[in-house]
Amino acid sequence: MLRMILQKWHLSQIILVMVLASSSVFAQTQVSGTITSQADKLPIPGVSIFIKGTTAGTISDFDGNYSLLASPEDVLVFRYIGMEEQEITVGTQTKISVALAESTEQLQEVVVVGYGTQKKSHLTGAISKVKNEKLDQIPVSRVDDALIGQVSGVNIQQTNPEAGEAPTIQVRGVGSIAAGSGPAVVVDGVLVESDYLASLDMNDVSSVEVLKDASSAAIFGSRGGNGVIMITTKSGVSGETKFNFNSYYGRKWSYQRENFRPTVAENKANIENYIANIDENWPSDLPEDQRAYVLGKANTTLTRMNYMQDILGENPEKDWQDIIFEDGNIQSYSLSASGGSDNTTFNVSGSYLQDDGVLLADKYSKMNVRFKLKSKLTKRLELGLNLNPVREQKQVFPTSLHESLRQSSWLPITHDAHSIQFVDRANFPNIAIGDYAQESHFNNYPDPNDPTKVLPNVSVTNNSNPYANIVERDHKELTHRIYTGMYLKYKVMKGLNFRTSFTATYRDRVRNYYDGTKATRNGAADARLRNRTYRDFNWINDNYFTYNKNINGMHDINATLGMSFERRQTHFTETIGTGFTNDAVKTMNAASTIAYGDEFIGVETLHSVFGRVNYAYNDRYLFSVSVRTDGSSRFGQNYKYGLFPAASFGWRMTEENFMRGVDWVSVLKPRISYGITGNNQGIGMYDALGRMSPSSSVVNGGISSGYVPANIAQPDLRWEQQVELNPGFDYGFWGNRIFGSIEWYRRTSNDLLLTQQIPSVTGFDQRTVNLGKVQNQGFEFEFNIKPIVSDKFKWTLTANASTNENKLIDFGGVDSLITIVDDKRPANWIAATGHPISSFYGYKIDRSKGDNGNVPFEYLNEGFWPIGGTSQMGYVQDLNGDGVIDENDRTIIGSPYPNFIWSITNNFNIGRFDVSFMFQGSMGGQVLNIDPQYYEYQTMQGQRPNTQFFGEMSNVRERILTDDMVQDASFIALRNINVGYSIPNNWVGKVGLNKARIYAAGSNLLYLMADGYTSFNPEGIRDEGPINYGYQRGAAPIPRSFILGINAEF
Amino acid sequence: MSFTACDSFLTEYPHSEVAVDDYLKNDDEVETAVIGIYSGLQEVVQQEYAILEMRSDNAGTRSGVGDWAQFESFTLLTTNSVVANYWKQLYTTIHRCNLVLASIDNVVDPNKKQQFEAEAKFVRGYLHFNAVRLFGSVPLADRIVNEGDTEGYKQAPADEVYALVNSDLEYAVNNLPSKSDIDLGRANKESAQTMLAKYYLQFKQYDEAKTLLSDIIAGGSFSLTQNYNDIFYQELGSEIIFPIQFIDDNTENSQEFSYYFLFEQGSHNYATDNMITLYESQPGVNGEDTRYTTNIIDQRGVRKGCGKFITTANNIRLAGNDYILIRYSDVLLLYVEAVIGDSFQTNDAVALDYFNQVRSRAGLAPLQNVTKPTLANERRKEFLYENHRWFDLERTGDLEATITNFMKDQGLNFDKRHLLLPIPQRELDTSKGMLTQNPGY
Repeated sequence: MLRMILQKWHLSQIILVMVLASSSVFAQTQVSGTITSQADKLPIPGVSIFIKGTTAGTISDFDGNYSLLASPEDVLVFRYIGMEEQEITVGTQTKISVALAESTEQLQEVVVVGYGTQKKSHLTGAISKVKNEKLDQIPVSRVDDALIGQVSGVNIQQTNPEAGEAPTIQVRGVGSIAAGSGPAVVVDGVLVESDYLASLDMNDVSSVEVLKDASSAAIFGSRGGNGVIMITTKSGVSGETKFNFNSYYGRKWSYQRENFRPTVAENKANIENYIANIDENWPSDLPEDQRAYVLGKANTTLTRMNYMQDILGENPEKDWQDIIFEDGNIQSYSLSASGGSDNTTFNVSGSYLQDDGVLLADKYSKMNVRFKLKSKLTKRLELGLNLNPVREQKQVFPTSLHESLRQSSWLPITHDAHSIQFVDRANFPNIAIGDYAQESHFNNYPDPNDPTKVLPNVSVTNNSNPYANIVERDHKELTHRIYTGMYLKYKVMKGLNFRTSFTATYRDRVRNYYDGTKATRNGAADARLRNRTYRDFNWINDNYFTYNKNINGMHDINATLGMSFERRQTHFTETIGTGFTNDAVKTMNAASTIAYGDEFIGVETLHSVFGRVNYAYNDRYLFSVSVRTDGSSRFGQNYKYGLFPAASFGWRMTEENFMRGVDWVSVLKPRISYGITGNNQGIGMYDALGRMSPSSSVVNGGISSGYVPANIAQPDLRWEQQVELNPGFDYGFWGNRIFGSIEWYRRTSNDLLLTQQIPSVTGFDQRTVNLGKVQNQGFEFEFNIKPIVSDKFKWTLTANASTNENKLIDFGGVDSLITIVDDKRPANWIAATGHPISSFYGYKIDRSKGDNGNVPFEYLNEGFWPIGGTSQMGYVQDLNGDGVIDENDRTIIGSPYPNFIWSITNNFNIGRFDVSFMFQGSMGGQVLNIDPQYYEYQTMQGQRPNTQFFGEMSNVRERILTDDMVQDASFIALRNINVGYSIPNNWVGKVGLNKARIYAAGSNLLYLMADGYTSFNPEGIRDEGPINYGYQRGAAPIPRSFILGINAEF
Repeated sequence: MSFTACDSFLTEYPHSEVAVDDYLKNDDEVETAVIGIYSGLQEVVQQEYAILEMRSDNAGTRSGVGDWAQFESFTLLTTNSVVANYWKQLYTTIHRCNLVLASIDNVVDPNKKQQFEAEAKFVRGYLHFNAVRLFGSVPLADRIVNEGDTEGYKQAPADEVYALVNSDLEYAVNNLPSKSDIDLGRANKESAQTMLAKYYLQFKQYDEAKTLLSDIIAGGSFSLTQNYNDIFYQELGSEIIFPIQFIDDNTENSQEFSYYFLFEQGSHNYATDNMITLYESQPGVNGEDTRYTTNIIDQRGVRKGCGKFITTANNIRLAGNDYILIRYSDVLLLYVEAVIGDSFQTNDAVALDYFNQVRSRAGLAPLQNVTKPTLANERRKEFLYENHRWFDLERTGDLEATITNFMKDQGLNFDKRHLLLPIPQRELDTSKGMLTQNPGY
């Protein structure tokens, strides 16, 4: 939209020039020259040059050249948006070349807001803008991944960095308990599914605005509560058709952990060493029989180690990381053409991106075509078209990483002539060379000293083959999406426009998840195909008037009034087939049984009325008031409509008389905003209604169709409501060599949807109610400085930082709720009032006892087992001092939410070279990291204390969550770096190019994790819902990449 | 601003479900809700074995830790998810019964109306019977209890719950069609008679029980399946009175307990040594009790696992083996129980005949008199893994002594108060103070 506005301005200039040029006066001389950018010396096309005080003028061509007729006394004005305006008196000159500097006073900069645009200088809310300067050169597959660190107050975290997977986006913290906290997404002025961020090609994006505070977002009503990401795609520019080609190709690899796990040989050496030195090591106060017991156990384990070495034979031990983490390529190709006539402009682009991911069997690719057209049909009527078909293909990593990485290093992938000798033939008679190996294949190994006995089993895990578990599953996702938008804009009268648009999106997504006959230990019995289809058809019709009026230069009025209709239809089907005898055909026709079929069709409608008035008095006092009312088919009659008002005020102090003499202050604008927004997530389409759903049973051996109650009718359900206060101010000094903003916000989320537990005697165990209250508050800082601005060398630095404090204020009258997400592992959370809505809840280890809090291994049943069992079992503190360790000794032991996130970006231009890099960090967040229990100390029953000797069970608890498992998830990343070289124009001109730049870029080339963090990705978090946030189990590692690219214009 | 014009635009009805206010308006619709009750029973029995077999002397689990391990050691936590889920399934299904009863006047056909009402009452009575036997004092859901209706959250004294069990089952006995007049798997008169007989036996009303049971036997609709193994693998045989049915490879209608009985999945419900000894101490005439060969399988030389309900489904998690709630040999043995009554033994000819029918099918020699312990052991061997043992002990008053001895034999102590299950913590937490935890938890 920004481009469209600029474009309009150009067009009017062109028209004026053409009309007036023909009637210009003859007694003048020809003046010509070239206009370049002071920063990069590149020519600037489209600069308007006119004679001051007249409308006579021209614009520069695509090489920055211009010529016009002027008299010696004329003053030429060179004007280009975003650049400092220059005036030069013609005099005797016939050649006037100008280097324009970037505008220090960004007064004219325009930002996109809901249903319109606004001058940045007149903004009264908290809106951040990111221009796509080099975002399309960051080697990531999604638009939202590229935005990491770009905007203060927006935390984008790669919670699942598998190829093509969405990051988690939080604008100003988590404001919801049961519903989603992701922001709304608007593309070219129209609300779309957030999923559309995957389809968009970054090359097509012109700019991104993030509406953060309630006063900016309230115009989007029930969608505005978690902030709004507004994306503007590139539009055509009239003139000669310009082509742009951007491509990069490079490598992706992952962060691995060194010394991942001791090898069998290392373990063996440790045990041998222990046995050899047991006289010295053994605590003198312990009884002799205990010593004998421990020694016996050590010897048994040693035998087992020997046996593992037998199995290994000549094969080197595996670090499963080397097998599961698989480096891949990332490549992107984008070609666009943009141009048009005075009345019609177009931008058409095609792109292909492929990301091979960093894991075995994850891959993502997308093909994207975008066509954007704008045409003046008549003087008053403008038509716009926007078409974007996309195809996305994803190979989904089929399991969780921990399932594979937990496997023993001695396990071969497949049996060979050596390993087959050791197979437990009694239980696995049919295993042959070439078959996948499992740990349990090697159990019941005859004791070499006593053939009537068997050695202790070697298997400890759930006995799947880690490699087969991945490669024998074929999980595919194919998405087709078409975005079609059109609008008509009619100029009713000067300043008053009416715009109507109709936008439809159709998404067809098919997930075919095939689990092969060799994927699990159960073989063909577990083989199945699960096909799911998602077909969504949504349309939105927006209609609104905009009115702009300036009265006497004193009163600037800008108003919007409109209404919107929206319909969303979703159609889901699922089919599960079982009974595959082999993997030759992996489609449903090969299944011998259809085990499950499901279908859901849902429709919802939304009707909204919205309006906004911005008023500026004397360019100094800025007021903005907006209101939206949303009506939704989801709700019962009582709460069908919601009202979302907002107001804000700003004061441009620099315009005041008393600031006139203070030249070094260029911007000083305190402002305050207040507003109410809503959150539409988390409410089912028909939750207000009591419903019955089909549920069959079996009678007489055959299926008989039945219906069962599905829910409790909830006619009083309504939107969550966010009330936000946001004082802030914008500053700029020394001609905006330094500029930025500071915000403080407090967002209180009321009427939060809660899944309220209710007694089962009602026939249900839960219902959704609007009861909770959460508060987020924090500061945001944006800071820009240009320390060096010279012809040869330019340095700019952009920093942003945000704090956020999340607090649960009301939990539906209940003080706290303790929840568990994984009943096999000790993973407890508490949502307690006065604390963040997700807090880890468990015991504190008492490090003064035992071996730094652990049960000393001389008391363990299997003290020598190579992957120990310390974390889940330890001496814990009797926090309430009642002498008993019980559930009442649990406390809050951490919180997943970072309290400080920041980024610093440096840009250097040195001659034709440019360098930019961003450091980004997150501080104070924690994760409940269960990975070490899989990778380091796998728990098994044998590691329980031996009760024969151990008398302190009352101080020791098993299978509990302790602060040992809560780790600091802070990190500092060199998120992006980009080094480019602009090839001189005389070189590129020879091959027919206008401009060419080659670059090398990388992401996450440096990634510092906190001390004590012991896994692959501090950002990796399983999606277990807002109150169970921060659970880390098997997250994919942080990917790193390095690419080479070229950007050419011709 | 007025939005009335937009109200029709803003009104949407579900496509893949139905609004309850628009449903249950005629015979067919109410009947689908009756089927929904049986769908609920499919859920009730999924994990019931943990509560009824693994706590008894019949079975244990290889799971050494966690929720499953708490049953055999009588260390149940109030947060045990299996118990919580069981309670939830009981009351969810009871709610479905009450929904049918609330809509019963919309049924036009008087025969159907009578049948549907009796089916709903049978299940409601049966589930309350389970609830009161396992948890003691429990909420009495003889009507739909809405959210916020705290009066309905209250625990009723056990005798009031038993009174509902009695009246519901009596209604079912008097109004349900016999086996031949209703699909197998829906409640029939004989199911209700058997269940009511169990109720009477528990309250020592032996004559009433005997009358009901002899009525079933005299009816002649049922007979013992010749081969014990066929009861479980030739489903819906002549012996089956009330099955809870499943089919293979059907996500909605398959069961999962067969899967958990597998060695690889933790050997849930494996036979205790005590159980094995019982079988082995009384070999059949050909050296074996055929029930032993059916019920016990060797699991890799490590365990004597559950041999009943072995699945042949393509997907072993989607087993189709029926769970049999009531079968004819139960009726025969209950009859013997009723005849013995408060005595120690009987040599009543009819009772002996019934008893020996069951015995001889298993390949055991007939007996000339039946004592209470003999009967109890016979039932154990006959119904291993069929979730009878716990209730048999409770009904005959032997629960505390038997479990105490069993635990003592293993060198374990337990709190006798733990014979009652804990009221699930989540129910206590949500009941607005209307529930009280059982003693000892």
